[in-house]
Amino acid sequence: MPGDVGHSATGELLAVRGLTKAYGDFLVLDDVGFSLPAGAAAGVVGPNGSGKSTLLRCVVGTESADSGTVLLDGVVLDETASEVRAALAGVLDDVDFFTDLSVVDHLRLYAWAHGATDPDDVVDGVLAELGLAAAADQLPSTLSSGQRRRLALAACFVRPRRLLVLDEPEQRLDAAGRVWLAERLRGEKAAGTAVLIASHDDDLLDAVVDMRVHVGA
Amino acid sequence: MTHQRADRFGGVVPPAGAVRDRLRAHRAKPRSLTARLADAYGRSFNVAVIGGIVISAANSGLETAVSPDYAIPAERVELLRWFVALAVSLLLALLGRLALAVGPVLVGATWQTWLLSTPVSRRELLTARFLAVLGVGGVAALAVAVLAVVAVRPSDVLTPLGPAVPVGVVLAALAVGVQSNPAGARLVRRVLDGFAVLCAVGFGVLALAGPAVPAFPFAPEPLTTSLIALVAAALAGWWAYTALGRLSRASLAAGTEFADATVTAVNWLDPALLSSTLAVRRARAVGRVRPARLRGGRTGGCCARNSSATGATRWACCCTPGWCRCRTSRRRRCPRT
Repeated sequence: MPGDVGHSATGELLAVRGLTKAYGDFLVLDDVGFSLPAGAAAGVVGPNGSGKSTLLRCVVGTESADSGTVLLDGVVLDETASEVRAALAGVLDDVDFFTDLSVVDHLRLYAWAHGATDPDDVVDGVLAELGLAAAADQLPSTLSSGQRRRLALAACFVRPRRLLVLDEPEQRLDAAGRVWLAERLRGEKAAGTAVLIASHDDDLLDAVVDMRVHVGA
Repeated sequence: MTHQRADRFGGVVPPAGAVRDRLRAHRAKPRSLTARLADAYGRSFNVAVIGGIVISAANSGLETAVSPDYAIPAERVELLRWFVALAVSLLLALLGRLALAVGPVLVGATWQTWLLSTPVSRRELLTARFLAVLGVGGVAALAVAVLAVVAVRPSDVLTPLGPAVPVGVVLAALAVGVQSNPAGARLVRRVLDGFAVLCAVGFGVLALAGPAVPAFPFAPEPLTTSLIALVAAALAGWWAYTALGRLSRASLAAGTEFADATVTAVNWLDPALLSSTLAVRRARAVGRVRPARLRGGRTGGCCARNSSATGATRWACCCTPGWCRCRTSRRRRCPRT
């Protein structure tokens, strides 16, 4: 049954096979395939316009591929299944915020909706880790672009996750933020989370990923 | 760490109603009276503009219909019935096409990010929007039926008006059901396009046939038709409701940009605001095009002649910078190169 999250016989958490996507006759993704076990990280690399973000959107299901399959635990990844949504955390380029909800309320709502037993505790820890504690009561529109990026990343860490999909997460982060990000992603891998990350930052990729997926080559 | 994480997220996923209540409670705290008034103003403005357009159109139609000068010649009654039936069919097909272009169920980026990515029941989260879509479908069909009544002025107005709302609900529900299946949605869009072309052909046939058309064959009994439409609406509504949980984020987001542009264009009474969104959608569907080459000699390719109202000659430069540097001028011609 699509969306049932069990365990793959091959040990792959995520498998992408023959993914193809075109806009009209402009081929963006051409037969892309790779697999990713739990506790490993893959970096999606390629020049601007090569289809990195499109690939990630197809993986998380916010865009539909023309052909090919995305498997989670050996089963076709169906984003409409609640089990899949519980397993898949992501920050892509489509993040938006409630204009009248504070930073901490965004995260508490999100953690609670994911079944956190103590949302306040989870959120306080992540806010402190991301340096957002002082901005907890602020509305998102009063945050800097870097702080908004941190808030989007924070959303991934106040919820359960087995697969983390990040589209250029280092964007708008300062140097300390990039160091933190690399350490955090290594910690995610150690905890058994698979990480799929598109980035132009070689330092981040060198520090985190185990394999690179080249697109648009 | 994995076990620790499992413990921290081992709670029960809340029902959608509780999520909405909590969201409302969170949002209530910082919301001032001014903010609420601003929201109310925005909504009232939308309703006033769209309602004004509808009422104005209905008013002018009714004025025409009740005017003593308005009379349908007896020999043209059947032709008019055919014409109106065709127009109603075309309107409903175009409304269906529009519904599939925008969703019809659509969700903005904020909900996509913070609510639809959670394991909370998607069907429950979308129920309110689904009911709104059904309501819009019913009202739109009723508006079409009123237009038909105004045009034909049948002796029994219940015949078109009775089943109008349930028929609109049926069509809206079918559109929602189709939205949950991308391949099916593509097929239905093609069918509706083909149907619209057939309607256009039908108009041509009617124009050629004139008053010599056969008698309009359909004379449904209003009560029976309404009951059948009600049953169909209930069945289609239930089918679409069960499909809500299968609506993907891709399908829910697809029409948001288009819908926002439509609301803005209607509010400002400026269809041009919609055209750029349509152009972007079209460009995405096309993908790439063959670059156009400049034709003619270098001077011809460089300059375009434009006669102004005063008769003076203008030369506009449209060349590659570097080899032709003329500027738009009333008196200066492009230099020969």
